[in-house]
Amino acid sequence: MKKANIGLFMKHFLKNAFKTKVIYVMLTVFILLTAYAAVSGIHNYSEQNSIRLEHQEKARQSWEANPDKHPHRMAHFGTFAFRMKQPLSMFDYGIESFTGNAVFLEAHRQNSVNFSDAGFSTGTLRFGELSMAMLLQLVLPLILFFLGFSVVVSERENGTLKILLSQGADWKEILLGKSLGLFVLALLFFAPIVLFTTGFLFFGETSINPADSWQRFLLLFLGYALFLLILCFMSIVVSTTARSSKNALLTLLGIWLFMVVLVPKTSQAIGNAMYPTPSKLSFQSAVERDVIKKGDSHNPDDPYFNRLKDSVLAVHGVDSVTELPFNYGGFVMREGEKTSANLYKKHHDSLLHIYEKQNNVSRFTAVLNPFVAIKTISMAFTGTDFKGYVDFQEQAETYRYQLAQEMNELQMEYISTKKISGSEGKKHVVGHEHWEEFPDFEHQMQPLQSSLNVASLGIFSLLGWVLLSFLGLRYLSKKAKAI
Amino acid sequence: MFRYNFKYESIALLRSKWIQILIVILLLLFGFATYNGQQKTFKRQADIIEANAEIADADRDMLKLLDSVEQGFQVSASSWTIPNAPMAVGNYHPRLASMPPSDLSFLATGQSDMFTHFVKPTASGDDLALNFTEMTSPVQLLFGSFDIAFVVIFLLPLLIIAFSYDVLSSERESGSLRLLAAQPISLYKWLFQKLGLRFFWVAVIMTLSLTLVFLLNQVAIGSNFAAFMGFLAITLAYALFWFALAFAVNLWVGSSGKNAVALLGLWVVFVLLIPAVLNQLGGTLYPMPSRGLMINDMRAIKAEATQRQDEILDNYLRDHPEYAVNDTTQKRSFWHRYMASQQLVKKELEPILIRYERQLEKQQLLLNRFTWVSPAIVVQGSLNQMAGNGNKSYKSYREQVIAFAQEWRNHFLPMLYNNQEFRSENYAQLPKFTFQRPTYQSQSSALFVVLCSALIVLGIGALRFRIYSKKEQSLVNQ
Repeated sequence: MKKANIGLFMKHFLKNAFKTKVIYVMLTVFILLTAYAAVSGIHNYSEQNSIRLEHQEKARQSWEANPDKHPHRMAHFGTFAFRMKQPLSMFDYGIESFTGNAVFLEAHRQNSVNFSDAGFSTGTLRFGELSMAMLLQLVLPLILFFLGFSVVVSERENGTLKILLSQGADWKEILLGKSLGLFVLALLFFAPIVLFTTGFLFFGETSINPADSWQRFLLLFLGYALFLLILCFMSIVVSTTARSSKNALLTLLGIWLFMVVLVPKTSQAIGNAMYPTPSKLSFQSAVERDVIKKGDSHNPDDPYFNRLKDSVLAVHGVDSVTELPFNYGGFVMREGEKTSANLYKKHHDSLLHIYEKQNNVSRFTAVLNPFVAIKTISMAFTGTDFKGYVDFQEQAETYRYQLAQEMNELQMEYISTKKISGSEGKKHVVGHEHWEEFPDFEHQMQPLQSSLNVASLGIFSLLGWVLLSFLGLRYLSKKAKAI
Repeated sequence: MFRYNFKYESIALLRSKWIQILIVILLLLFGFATYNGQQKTFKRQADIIEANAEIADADRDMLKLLDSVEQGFQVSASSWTIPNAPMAVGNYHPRLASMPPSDLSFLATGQSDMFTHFVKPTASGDDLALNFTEMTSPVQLLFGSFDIAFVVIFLLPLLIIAFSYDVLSSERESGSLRLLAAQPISLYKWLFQKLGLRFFWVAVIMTLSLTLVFLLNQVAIGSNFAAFMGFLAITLAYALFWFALAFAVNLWVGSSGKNAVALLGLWVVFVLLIPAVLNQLGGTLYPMPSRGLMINDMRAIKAEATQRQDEILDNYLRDHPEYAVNDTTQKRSFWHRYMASQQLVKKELEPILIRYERQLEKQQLLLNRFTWVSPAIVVQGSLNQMAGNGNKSYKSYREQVIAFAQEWRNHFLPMLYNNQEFRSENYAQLPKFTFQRPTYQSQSSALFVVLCSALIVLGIGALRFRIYSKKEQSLVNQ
């Protein structure tokens, strides 16, 4: 095997490819689509970002602008948690359109993350969104299969393959050279996307942790390069083994159809059927039932809280709650929040567990399916995957819990001990300076490590596929027939 | 000639196992999709029954409690939840406003995985706080459901492409086209018949397999016969569109390979790119006002209203003298002030709410104007509507729930302001919600659009003959 020969075959392939008009048309159309996807991705990102910045400030202002108030009323006034977007989310929208990016936080109530685009959309969203990731995952494979299907098989049909081999060319050189040629073409299609994304990372308004973004970018685009390499090997392998060029094309299109359309959708549907999701109503009433079973903090005659009251009185050696050194209403609320938050967390965790199990069915097909593998890698590194969403939810819930408890502490400390319960009353208030003391919510974006963990299965799958297709080429170079 | 063409082509299709394969694939796909859709429908029904049972349970407890109170017993419940106060019933014993699935709900998931089908509006709650979104895994939403609509819109075209991409080119490539050209039939007619025959077979197999699959899955075809026929008609029209595309591509493009890729490219354009671009265009031209901003506005209006509660109540009673007259005690509680200010808040918030619906309407309008660009969008909208899971149904549901919330509130207001107690005999008079399904709309306009696009594409194909009418040879020798 000579390196020079490999180079020769590569050049020959490229020369041939650029002889036809088709490649120019495809390249132009693809670049136009890329430009469109890039512009709308950047637009989407900056719009979401400015909305978030504006609202976070407004929400904070209206929180701090509250007059002296009873702390429990402040807890119900509540505030918002806003989600930061990874700059790379302009490249892959992932599940972002379906999740929303803000959540309203108040005492006792775990409001789901809402304000998603999907809730306010016409049905067309369901056809999918045109992003640069979609072009790479769906459209470029089709183009590459078209450019690559006939590469070997047509030479056999023309009879030129015989001549090549009789002149001393080696099968390995032919296959590798042609694969690399196709890969160069693939990179040509890939280049504008890389350019747009780097341009955005350089000049866009992406103030948050540029080092992290660049690392993600690097890993992401390495992943895509591997993916494209696999596609090229795949085309050449099929082209070598097929009986006719028509068969080669049909096989490749079949692979595309099966792996891109049918398998992901079916596996997700199966996952959903295997692990059914409870409806929102039954989820909520399950939580409510559990809370009431444990004890209703708003009910003065609740047995659980009555026992609690007796023990508190005993510890402090007093007969009545009005003699306690703190406001008893705040204390009850604090205990109630603790139990209800724990119960909610328990139910919510089991819900997430169901989602996870559903997703795993299609996630594990990544081992066999490089198209699913690249999809999981892409969503993980652009921070638009399920993990990122859950992560934000958890941070928001932690903050909500702190907020509610802080207000309860204020009530215990500053509200007269004579006032047993209730949040009403204009006399029982806490000074507004305390509102400013409570820090604002700040979304901590997922560390790279956690994205890496999610993507690891996909990465191994891609590496395995590269190895496999390379071995396939080697094997073929011994077995392939020239006639 | 037509008879021979029909007979021998059918035999050829049978011999090549095409028809058998098509039957198996369609049965499998339609079967899985229908089963999947029906399971969801059943679950939705079961959820509603369960929620109703829960309310019935709570009602029984409430009536018991009410009875004890009326008999003068001491009860162990928080004072504000005792149901002799009308507001306690209005807030803690809401009715279920549910949206049961239609008989054909399984056809298309539509928006049903995103929106909830049961809401419990309370007397003191505001309409904005009604949350109509369902709790679904976002990943599931991204992938979408495997329903009949998916099979028809996405997969059926692919099957048709596989069935017809090389009708002309394979004859050319195998050399038999020359023989055919020598026969006393024009190539145009011959190709048209050949594709027409394939369409015929696809239509027959589809109709039979759909009917069989639906019957096996306990779909009430009989009572929805008009809708079922409408569904078949639009599906067949969509199939015709793809056959027309295959016809045009066969004539204009050339070799089998190029045909296949051209057709798949068109599939990507019609099914993925055009809908995505239209969706993004709608969002960019008519962006939704931010919901976060709305909640902020709402809080500001509410805070202001709370400060002026006494004044608002006075004004309110002045506007509603009927409330002030019938009551001799003139007792005023928290709820009196709250509900009066709530009415004001609602009025002030209305323009904000309307802004949303208006933007969404504008997006929908834009979509309606350009929907003909891709038959896939037309068919999706039409199937969603037949299934009763489209945007229109959910909009109607939202409006009905909000109207019901108002009715519910209005039911308790006179009792509140007249300081009347809620009694056991009032229970039967509580308003109830029944979802009025928007009447079935015939899908003839959608059908018309899809048929028109099919005809236009057929025309484009036929143009090849107009332009090269003297040179039929060019088709043979290409």
